[in-house]
Amino acid sequence: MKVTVKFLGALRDQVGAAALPVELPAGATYRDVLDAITPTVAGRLPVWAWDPSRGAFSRRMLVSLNGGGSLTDETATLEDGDEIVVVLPLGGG
Amino acid sequence: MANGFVGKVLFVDLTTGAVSEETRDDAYYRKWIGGTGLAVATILERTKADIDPLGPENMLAFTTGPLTGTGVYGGGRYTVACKSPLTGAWADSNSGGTWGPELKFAGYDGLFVTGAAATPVCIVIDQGKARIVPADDLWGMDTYETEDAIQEKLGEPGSWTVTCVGPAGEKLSLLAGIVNEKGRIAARSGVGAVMGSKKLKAIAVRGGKTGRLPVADKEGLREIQKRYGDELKNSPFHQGLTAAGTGGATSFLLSIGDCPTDNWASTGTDAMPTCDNLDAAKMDVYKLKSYGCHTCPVRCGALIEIAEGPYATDGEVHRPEYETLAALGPNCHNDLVEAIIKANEICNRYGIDTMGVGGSVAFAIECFENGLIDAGDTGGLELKWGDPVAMVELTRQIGAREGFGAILADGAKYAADQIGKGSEQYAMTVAGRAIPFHDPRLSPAHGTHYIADAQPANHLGPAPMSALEGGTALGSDPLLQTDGTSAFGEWEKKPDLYVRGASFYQLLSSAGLCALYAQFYAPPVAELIAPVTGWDIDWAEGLTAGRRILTARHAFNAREGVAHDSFQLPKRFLDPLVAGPAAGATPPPFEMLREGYYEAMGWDAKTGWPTDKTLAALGIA
Ligand code: SF4
Repeated sequence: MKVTVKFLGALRDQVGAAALPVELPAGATYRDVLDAITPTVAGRLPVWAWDPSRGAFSRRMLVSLNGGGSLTDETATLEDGDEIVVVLPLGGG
Repeated sequence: MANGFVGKVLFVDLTTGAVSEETRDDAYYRKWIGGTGLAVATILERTKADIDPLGPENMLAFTTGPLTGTGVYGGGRYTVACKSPLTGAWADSNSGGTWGPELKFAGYDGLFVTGAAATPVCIVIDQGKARIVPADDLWGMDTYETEDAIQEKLGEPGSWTVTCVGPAGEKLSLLAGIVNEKGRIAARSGVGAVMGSKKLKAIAVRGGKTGRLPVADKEGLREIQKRYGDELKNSPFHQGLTAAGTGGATSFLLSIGDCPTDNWASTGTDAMPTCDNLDAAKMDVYKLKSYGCHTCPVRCGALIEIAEGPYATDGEVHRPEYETLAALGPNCHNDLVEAIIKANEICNRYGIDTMGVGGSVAFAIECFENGLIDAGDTGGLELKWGDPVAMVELTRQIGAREGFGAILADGAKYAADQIGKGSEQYAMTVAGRAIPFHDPRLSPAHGTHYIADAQPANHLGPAPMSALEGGTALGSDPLLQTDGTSAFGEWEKKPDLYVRGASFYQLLSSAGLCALYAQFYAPPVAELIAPVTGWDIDWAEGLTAGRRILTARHAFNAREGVAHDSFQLPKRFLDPLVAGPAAGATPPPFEMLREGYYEAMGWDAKTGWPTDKTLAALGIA
């Protein structure tokens, strides 16, 4: 199945791509996606965006699944066509 | 009466004591929505050009929107607007709490105050009846004392909702704001000085037993509100703000180069490694309870108290928000959160903008460190980076407009005019308004908005522009879609996104929704307005209304001769950032982006003045 990880705003410039398509076996989890993109993003995203010790996006990034709530559960099972969106939170009062 | 509105506005002339009400019909509101739209339409129509902002002819507007007080989540806001004495341009400032809904419950969608009283007065609006009462006894009181005294003075304490000025507004500080409920503040552009210039100490409103405003389609509203509520609840925005307020991540924003240190001289964790002392979680130990504005499930505020020690608060106070933490924290190289809590209390009591005060204090420290001023100028106060004691004392002096604070009380630009010696290089303002504490070099939308909006250095408006620029749609309507752009390139694609983002924000704000909702989430504004008002409004009409209001604000500036190419970011922002994703990058071409945005808006590319064709197309006289 295919899952897409989209990077918005400044993260898009950091990664050098608006989206990374990931091919995974059916039943793959969010952790599998993180492992799949690690070789690409780990060297491009600084520590404020990518936490190398956890091999995951820093807890400060807003990560959502298909435009819904925040995606934190690494055991969450994904489906073909899912879109994970990663945003650097900026702005605010 | 139009659904969602009372259908009446109140005019008070404090020179003559005349109080009169006028009706506004559905068609008027459909054109101008409410909030800033209602204010700018009225001010353009009823005031003359070139008036003294601190003179009796300036009109001070207090307005609400169709969603205010209707039970819609986040509909607890009100707008204060006038000609700004700080910038000479358009001013609109916004506050939450319960005062806006209560004004509507008391019988009016808006209140417009002109003239000036000979001696201090209050305006009292009680269940549809307005009167002017003497307030000599309140003059000189801080905002907390004023609120308590009015509750006693008018009887049935606790039944009134009060907005007022503190000593800063009375003394015409151009950083003065208007404070309701002891800590919600329409803070910026000097609106408090305009209120003080009218000798108007406070406005007390009481709606009595009236509850919500009538809505056209209750079932339709319930449906959309359910979806809206679920989206809000699930959004990280809601969760983060509820847990920690806007100040949950000051150290993070420093690490990515968004939050400045040392009067914008630097940024990044290395510039101030102890910044995490300021994160909102550090204030939890002082937290008494969470606080939210009228019908807001987010409840981003908190009431806190420091019981003892050098920074003990005088009872319960509001928790500082991000802008305050940044302004009086890293920007002054201060990492003591207790000192910021105390300074925030002082600002709320004196009724003064924490962002402007932070900008003034940091300016003064940099002048002192560079030998442009010394202890002889400051009344013996030694100013240096990272001195919380001096920061708090200077904040008090600015609020009270005394000592060296009197020089700083109108903001860094005016202080530089008095100090001279090249000190203007340290005044981090656009046209006198302190730069908000989100670095423009990190977000082209923010930087462009800081110099392009009718109100310079305005920080809440650019969020939807930034969302579209980044690739986040503002809803499902085709007009709200985006392919995004590179944050630091693809400049030619941005103006169209900025027009739609700015129009979206203006509709949201004028409808009466909280600006914070637009920061990390896009509320279904048009979908909410429709069932409340009964209008068949869609996004095309909603965005056009937003553009009309933006254009009218610029028409006001054109009338005042304010050319927007005079709005410039300080030179410091021409250098690359030193930390975060924009580190080392050439700053975005803000002036080119502004020109593109103006052209896409149908305004003159240089001055920002709307063309006759645009004014006619939008029905602006
Ligand atoms: S998000 Fe915060 S400021 Fe906005 S309405 Fe809710 S409590 Fe008030």
